[in-house]
Amino acid sequence: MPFQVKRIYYGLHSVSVTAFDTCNNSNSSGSCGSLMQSVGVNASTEYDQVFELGRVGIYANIEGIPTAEVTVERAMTYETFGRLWSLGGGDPQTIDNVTYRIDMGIRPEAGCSSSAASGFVQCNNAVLSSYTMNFSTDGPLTESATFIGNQIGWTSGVAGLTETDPDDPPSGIVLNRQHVVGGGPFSTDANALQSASFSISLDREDVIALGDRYPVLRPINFPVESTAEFEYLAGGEGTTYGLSFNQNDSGGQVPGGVAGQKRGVFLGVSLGAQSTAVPKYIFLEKAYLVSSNYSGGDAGGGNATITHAYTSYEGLGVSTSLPSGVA
Amino acid sequence: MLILAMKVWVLVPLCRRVWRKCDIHIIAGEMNNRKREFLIANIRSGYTRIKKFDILVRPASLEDIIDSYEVYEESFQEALDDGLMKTEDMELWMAANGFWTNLDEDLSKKIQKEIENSKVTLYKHYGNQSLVRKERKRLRSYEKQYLSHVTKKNIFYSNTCESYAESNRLIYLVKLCCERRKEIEDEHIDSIIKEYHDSILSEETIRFLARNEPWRSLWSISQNCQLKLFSNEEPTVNQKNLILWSKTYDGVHESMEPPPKVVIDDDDFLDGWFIEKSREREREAVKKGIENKTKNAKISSSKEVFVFTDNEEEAQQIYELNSPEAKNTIRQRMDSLNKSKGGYVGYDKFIDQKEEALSKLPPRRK
Repeated sequence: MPFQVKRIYYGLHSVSVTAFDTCNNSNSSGSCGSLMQSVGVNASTEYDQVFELGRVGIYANIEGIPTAEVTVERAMTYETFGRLWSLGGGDPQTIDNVTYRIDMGIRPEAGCSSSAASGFVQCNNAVLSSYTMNFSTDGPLTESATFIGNQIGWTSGVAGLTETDPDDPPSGIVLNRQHVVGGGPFSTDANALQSASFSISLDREDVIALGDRYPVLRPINFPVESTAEFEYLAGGEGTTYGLSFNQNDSGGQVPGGVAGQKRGVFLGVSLGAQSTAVPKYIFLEKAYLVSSNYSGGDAGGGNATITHAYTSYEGLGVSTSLPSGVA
Repeated sequence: MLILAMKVWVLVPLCRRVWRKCDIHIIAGEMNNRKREFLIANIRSGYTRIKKFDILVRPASLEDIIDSYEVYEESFQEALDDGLMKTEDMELWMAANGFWTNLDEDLSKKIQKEIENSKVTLYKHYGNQSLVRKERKRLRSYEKQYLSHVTKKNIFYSNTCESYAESNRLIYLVKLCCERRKEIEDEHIDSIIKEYHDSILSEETIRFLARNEPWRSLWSISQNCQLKLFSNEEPTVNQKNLILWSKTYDGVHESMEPPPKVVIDDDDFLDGWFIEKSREREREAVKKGIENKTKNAKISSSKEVFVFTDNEEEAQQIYELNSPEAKNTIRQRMDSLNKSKGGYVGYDKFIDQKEEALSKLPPRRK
């Protein structure tokens, strides 16, 4: 009988992601523990069976190393826009040499005398596997990062991992749909934008060595693919947004340029006219338009939407200014 | 003197309730058609007969009830002027003097939870006679325990302004609604009030009447034709309870997955069914809340989902989402962590992870 996946839910007390400059966790280059929303962990252990000639049964089950995939999602403020990405340096070349430690405090079940965390899950020497930033009309703007590693376990205490005092005033405004300023392929038509996402996937290769139980290195396989997706309301002739599906052929305003032509795509956030803070951007350089989809507009009253997807091999950037060729 | 009488007035219904709980099956088994018809006729008439004093108490009208609350207000003020405490002050006084502390409150909640769990167990194993016998015994013992514990709190309630005022209101109402009466002497008033209280049928009896003949058919007919179920306008306590339970039984029969008749006919089983359904609904609501919190598909489909909570109650709701196996896994992991020498246990050392890994291996070669 195959093993049934049983989902375990935990109440989360606190989370912290700490980045380390080198693979041996010697120098911390910063940590992020604010506005964490939820965490998902997939961990498993494999056994290798060893047989021998002349023996019917198994000679031994050799225990493999656990593999863990930890996905962290957090809401963003202006100050912490793209924090999980910039924590490791903000570009794939730097992130290649960065390791992370993820600490999670588990809230005890009711009835325990203490409200402090009753146990901690710790994943050491993990590396970033993927990163996504989501812009949606519903709820706060979020970013999520997936880390992979082998050293995961439960520990009875983590120094410095504490719950935020509920009386402490929050330090920043949580970014929402109204904070999104122009961007995407149509910087002048940001109002028609329904949702957007930027993501980067960092495929890794395990480098193992004699004498070491765990992989000694997990270098990124270059080139690295970054993607961006923009969903717009589809407009007909003479509508406000002027977006139609065949614009790519019109020779005028085009979402991704003519076939084969590269362009930059970006999205920005700003705190509004009252704030002196400059906008912050997430962008892809030299991106190709890889698909355009027209969907919706059904008899049920759903809106028709056009989704443009872009791919770039130049990495993903988060900055207060846009490089030339993107804006 | 009046306060002493009020203590009796508060305690008697409580004791009656326990006695009735213990004997419900005897009551139900022994209640023949005539007895049922008599009780239904009595309830429908709305009148309360107190034979001992040859008194007939008619159902109170809305005007009577409004008037009775004027008496309540006056009595409340009188009690306050005489130095009696309000309920909230009494609770503070009891807490300060150690008569009813937070520990007592917690214990009371704990016993209530045990009662609920016991009823759910009874419902889940209603086919297993020996387990049902044992569990029912346990349930009765929890109920007795709960009652004796709560009595500790209620005994002081009789010394509050609210209790004094309510007692006076009731005396006024009974006196006002008495028909075919001789002059009520003050020395008999406590006995009359007690008899009046006794006329309010226990929940078990009302439930039994609501799901059986002759009421069941009367109730069904009344839905389709203009049959007047009660002779009075303003429903009495018994009438209200009977309607409420009749509607509840209708709801049970019409539910998407109605329980079998054996469950419907047994109050403990059916209570267990109600509790289980309500817990299921709560779990679904929490699950929906968590789904809203974890819109990230990668997280919501993970084997372990950690949801941020800022209070213990919410954390408990999240833990309740776990299946018994998942709860057991959490306990096992906590145990492993507590027993570990270095305060660290790797995932590969957890029993559940080992079991999972072994289950993935191919079967033994032959």
